[in-house]
Amino acid sequence: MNLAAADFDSAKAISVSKIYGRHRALANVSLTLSPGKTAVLLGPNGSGKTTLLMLFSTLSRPTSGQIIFGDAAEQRAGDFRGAIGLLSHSSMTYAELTALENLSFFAKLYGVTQPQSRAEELLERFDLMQSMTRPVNTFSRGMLQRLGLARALIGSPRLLLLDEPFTGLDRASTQIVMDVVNEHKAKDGLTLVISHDLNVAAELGDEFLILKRGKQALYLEHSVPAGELRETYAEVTA
Amino acid sequence: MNEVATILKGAFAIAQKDWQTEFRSKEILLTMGFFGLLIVLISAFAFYRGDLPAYALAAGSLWVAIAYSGTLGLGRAFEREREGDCIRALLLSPMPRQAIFLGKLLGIVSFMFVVELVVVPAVVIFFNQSLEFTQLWRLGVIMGLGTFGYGVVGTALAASLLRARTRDVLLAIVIYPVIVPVIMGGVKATTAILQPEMSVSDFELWARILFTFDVVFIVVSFWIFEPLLID
Repeated sequence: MNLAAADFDSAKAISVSKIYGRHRALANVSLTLSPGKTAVLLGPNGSGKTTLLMLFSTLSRPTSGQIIFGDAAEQRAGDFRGAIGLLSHSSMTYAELTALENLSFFAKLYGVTQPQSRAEELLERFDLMQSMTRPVNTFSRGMLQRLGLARALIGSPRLLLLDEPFTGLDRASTQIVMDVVNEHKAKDGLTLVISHDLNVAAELGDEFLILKRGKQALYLEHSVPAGELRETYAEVTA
Repeated sequence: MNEVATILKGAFAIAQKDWQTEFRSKEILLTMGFFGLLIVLISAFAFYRGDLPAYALAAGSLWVAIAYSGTLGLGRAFEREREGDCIRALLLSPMPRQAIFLGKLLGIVSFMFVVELVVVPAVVIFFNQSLEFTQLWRLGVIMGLGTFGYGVVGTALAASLLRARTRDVLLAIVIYPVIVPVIMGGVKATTAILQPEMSVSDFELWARILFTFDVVFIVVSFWIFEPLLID
């Protein structure tokens, strides 16, 4: 068995809905993620952004509709997992372990041939080398966010899913995350970002999906200036 | 790399991570060991009287201590995966789900074995038992089979309850009915080993039952582990 994930050049959500008990979190939403493009999900709290992101991550299954990676005839979520990097609200790292131990562990799970070297490379990239032997439970919010992003990149993913990646970051750290997204884009990677910061969203995004109460409120298939995005967002979510 | 090698490699990495975490915090082994010892001590003072066969009480106390301390360990081992949403990171990795199940299983079973190294001598001392080599290895076999069965069921149930709000209470409620065969088999086989005239046929019968339980539940758990964890 090979741990290398099947490659894909697009990821599509086709009319996906997600229902939790009696609550419809997402209703009939479609979105295509294309190589070299950053899609930004916008919407008020509880509009279904994270639900859609989790469907793309394969950690959640749609109640109806489909998530399709590439054009493979047979779609098994497990085949694509290694090519998906997810940064969620938490860093998804073990508090008692050091940053280096955490990243080395996840590198092993991704079948990286030299786990420690890969971990060190990412710690360097995210300016965490000084703290690599400290347990993660001593890290600040911003450091955790950077470590979480390093973990998301450990398997060199094709699809990068970032749920509010700029929360708690200072200017320098925000710039690091922006650079990561832009580098990923330059490598023809697929990127989906959730952000409440419309300035950052406008700077990063090549396409925008605004959700409202689980429904698709507006889809913009081109980049827009921050001012215009703010106006459109205010109109749509009013 | 073939599939079995990948699963084993992943499982060892996860179990190693669990031990690494435990070396830092020491909370699982200390709480399990202390709780196990306490159960043996209370049982010895409450039930060990001249009118009841000590070997039967010893067998019962041993398995009660294993079952209760095991639940503590299981709860904490999975709580670590829930804290910081680490379970999602595990599930998002390309590692086969069986490797994740097996890794968590190896971790919890090895914790239980370490605790048993303390609890068994305590039972022998407090219930005034003497163990010869022929009894000792048989007891080792039964403890191995019983602990493994307990770990298999416990790992699957604890994983399935990760998203439940009252998971600690639920785990205790759900696990005991399912592991009744393990506890029964363990107590019966241990009694057969400890009684003055060791009953080899009883030991073999209950060892076979425990082995069958282990095989059935590991197959079922391998099969249902992923659906249990995905939304």
